[in-house]
Order: sequence, then structure tokens, then C-alpha cells
Amino acid sequence: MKSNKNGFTFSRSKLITLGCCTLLSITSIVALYELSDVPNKKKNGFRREYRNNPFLSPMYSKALNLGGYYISGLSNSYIYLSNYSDPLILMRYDYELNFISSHNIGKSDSARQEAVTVKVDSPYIYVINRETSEIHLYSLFGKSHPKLGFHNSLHPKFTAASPLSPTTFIVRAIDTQLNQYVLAKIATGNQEVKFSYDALQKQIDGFLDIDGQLLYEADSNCVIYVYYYRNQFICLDSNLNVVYKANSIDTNRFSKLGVKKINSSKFTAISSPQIFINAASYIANGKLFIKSDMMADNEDRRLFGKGFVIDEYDLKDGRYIHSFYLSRMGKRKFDDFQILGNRLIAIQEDYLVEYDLTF
Amino acid sequence: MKKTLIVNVIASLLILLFVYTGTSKLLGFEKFRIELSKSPLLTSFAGWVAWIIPVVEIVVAIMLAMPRFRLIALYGSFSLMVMFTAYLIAILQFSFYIPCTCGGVIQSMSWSAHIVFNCFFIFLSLSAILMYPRKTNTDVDTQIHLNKKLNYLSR
Repeated sequence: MKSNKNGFTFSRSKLITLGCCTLLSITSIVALYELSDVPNKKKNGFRREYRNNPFLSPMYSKALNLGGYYISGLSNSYIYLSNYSDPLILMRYDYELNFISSHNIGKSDSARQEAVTVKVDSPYIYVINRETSEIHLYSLFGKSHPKLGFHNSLHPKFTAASPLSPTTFIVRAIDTQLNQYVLAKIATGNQEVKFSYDALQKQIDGFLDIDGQLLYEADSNCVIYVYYYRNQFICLDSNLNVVYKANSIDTNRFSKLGVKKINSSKFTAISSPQIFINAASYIANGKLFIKSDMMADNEDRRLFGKGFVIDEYDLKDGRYIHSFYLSRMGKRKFDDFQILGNRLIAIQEDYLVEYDLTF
Repeated sequence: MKKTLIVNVIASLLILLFVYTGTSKLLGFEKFRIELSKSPLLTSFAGWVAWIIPVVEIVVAIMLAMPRFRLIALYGSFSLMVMFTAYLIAILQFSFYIPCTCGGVIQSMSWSAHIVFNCFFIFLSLSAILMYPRKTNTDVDTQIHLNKKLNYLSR
């Protein structure tokens, strides 16, 4: 047994035991990985086509010093950002990603701030509260914000809303009878609600498995709902008639989400890895862009790790066109994106990044 | 003796860590189990891993408090911390939702801070093992005590 100045005693038996402990601990984790069904470990059974020059490098990038941002809207000259932790502060950047101004939309009321989403469709700002099912309308310009309260006790509760106009909205409403989400169209000053019962389909619990992104684009007059956990999106007209249902290119027809009821409360919670088949989507230029987390069989694993893959679909019929990559800022995660013309603006954790879609 | 004192301090720190994280897991058991099942590595084993981890943590803490089992418990803490760190590194490879279920304040640490924190405790338990004398006074004491007991019983 040797003992050095520091007082450590290196006996052979100690070192052997330590070695065994290390080996055993690491092996157990490797075994867990081998036994587990980690996403993209096995082949997913689909292929991607790529556009020319598929790997887009950032044209501009800007550190935001904080995570939790999302894009609330794009106007011709500005990018509007909101933060989940303080949603009533609207940040404005130009397309060279210079910070222009920050704008306090209104005083925060008693409502929980986490439940608030802000959408900017110049010249309007929509403040949507998912908890109270209220929408407040503000103007981007002028100091006194004309506030049009929007809340009607006869309207259903909703958890997502997309404005068609300052007075009409498509919402993802809670249907208490069917016990699931349904799409609905509501309007201010009008108590009539138009429901679409054939759009959203329940696979597990009707809420968590139906979760997805509700999009609307005025140019094509198209409402799109993209499911997060299954390979489907639905196209509706602005009167909520289903135009088509289409599948994204991967093979996850059925949501693999595990859902568990929590005994101590009335809530249900996700109890499986949250694998976003279609993590983020946006409509622009007559196309639907979907950021997918699924790796294709013909995809280079290293490239898939270095970038975020975006699949393009034709908005007319939901046909898959091709895919491209957005380069990743370090090891950051992808949070959100929007497109205006040829500019793709993305949020990657604490970074705002702009890509050029031309060439 | 200085060495014994350092070993005792390290053992106390480890006891504090394991009792804290173990009990906070058990107190929020339901949430802990659900968080575990969201982990791509643990989803199919979440049911029993959710029990084993806090129970092992508390057992190791109790053993650390008992001089007789202190060395074994130090090996146990070392293995646990190596395992947690290996898990962290493995899970960071996936860009999906990464659940953290360490419980309490520790949960609010960033990933890099978490790895540094774990490495610090690996280092501590490693040092304690290497500093652990062949036989401490307390060990000898218990040995004598046991012998007396045995003598008494066999009489």
C-alpha cells in the first residue's frame, strides 16, 4: 500500500473496486440505451428528397441573451418577438436583426402570464389567453392602444386561436361532450359558433394526442392544423370545411404518446418521450413548411445532427415537394420559425437566426 | 485524525445530498415517475426505476452514516454519481425533450452546471474512498464491541 503526500492511499483492491464500479455504472447506462426505443435509433422507413443546395447557412444571427422567445409575427419591415416568461413585452428587430425597440403591450392582469400567446399581424397585436379563453386586440401604432376586449361566456373555451380578421377567429375549442378538442370559428359580437367535428381526430385522450399547430394564411385563405405527434395535417377553408387531409412523409400514422391520469389531480399528463413528428410549421409562398424531428433512411446522421430538417409541402393538395436543412447554432435546440418571402426567421434557444431561401 | 475527519465531512455531504434528493423524489413520486417515463432511455422501465433510485439513495445515505458500512456506501455513492453523469451525457445526445428528475433545487441547474456538480461529487466520493484508512478507530471499536457481544453470547 502506497500513501502519498495528499493522504491518499492507493491500494490495489481499492483501485480494482473503483474500476469495477465505474465500468458497471457506465455499462448499465449503455445497456439502457441498447434496450430502449430511442427515437431515430432504428430506421424510420421513409426517404427525403432534397432541393439544390439543401444546407442553408445563416445570413444573420443575433444572440438574444435569453431563451424562451418565439416569433409573434413578421411584417414587411420588422420581426416581432415575444418571450414566454414576459409575454406582454414585444421586441422589434429589423431584417438585419438589429434590435429596434421594445414595446409594452399592456399591463399584465391577474391572468397567469404563461398562458398568454401574442400574435402580431400588422397593424394588430392579438393577445390570446389560453386559460381564460380571452383575446385582446391592440394596435401596433400609437400610444393609446384601442383595446377591444373579446370574451363571450357563450363561446366555448379554447386553447389556441388564429385570427382570420380582427373580429373572426379560428380556435381549437374544448368540446366537453365529445371530450376532445374541435376546431371552431368564432366572431366578436356574434354568439353563433361554427364547429368542425370532422377535422380533428381523437387517437388517445383527445387532448394531448391532438395537440398541434393551428395556422392561417390570408393569401391562400387556408387554415392548416398540423399534429405534433402523428404524421398528419388538415387543410380547411376559412369556413372550416375540410379541403383535404394529408400525411407528412414519415410513417407515424398513430400517435405513440403515452398518456397517464394523475391520481392526485384531475389532469392527465404525457408519460412517454415527447417525440415531435412535426415540431413546428408555417405557411408561406403557397407552401407548408414543417420542421420534422424524424430522420429519413437516406439521411446522413451527422448532417441530421448539424442541422434542422424542414420539409416543404404544396398547400394545394398537401403533396410533399422536397426538404432542406437549416444549420444549427452550436448544440442549440430549435424553437420556432416563420417565413416572409425568401426570408426564414428562426429561434434556436437564445439565438435569432435569419436564412435566405433563394438560390 | 485529519484523514478521518475529511472522510467524515465528505460522507456527511453525501448523506445530505442523497437524503435531500431521495426524499424529494419520494414526496413528488407521481411527478417523478411521469418525468422518468418521458425520458427516451427510461420510458419502458420508469415504473420500477422510479422506486429503485430514491430507495437506493436513502439506503446509501443510511449506510454512510454507519461506520461499518461507510466504505461500501462510498463505493455506492461513487457508482451512483458516475451512473447519473453517464445518463446525463447520454441523454444530452438527443435533441428531444430532456427531462430532469433530480428533485428540488438541483433540478433548476443548467445541464453543464449539472455535470460539473456531479463530477464534484464523484471527485468527493473518490477522494473519500482513497483516503479511507484500512481500519478506522471506529471500525476497531465496533469490532471490539462485536467480539465482546459474541463472547457474551457464546458464554
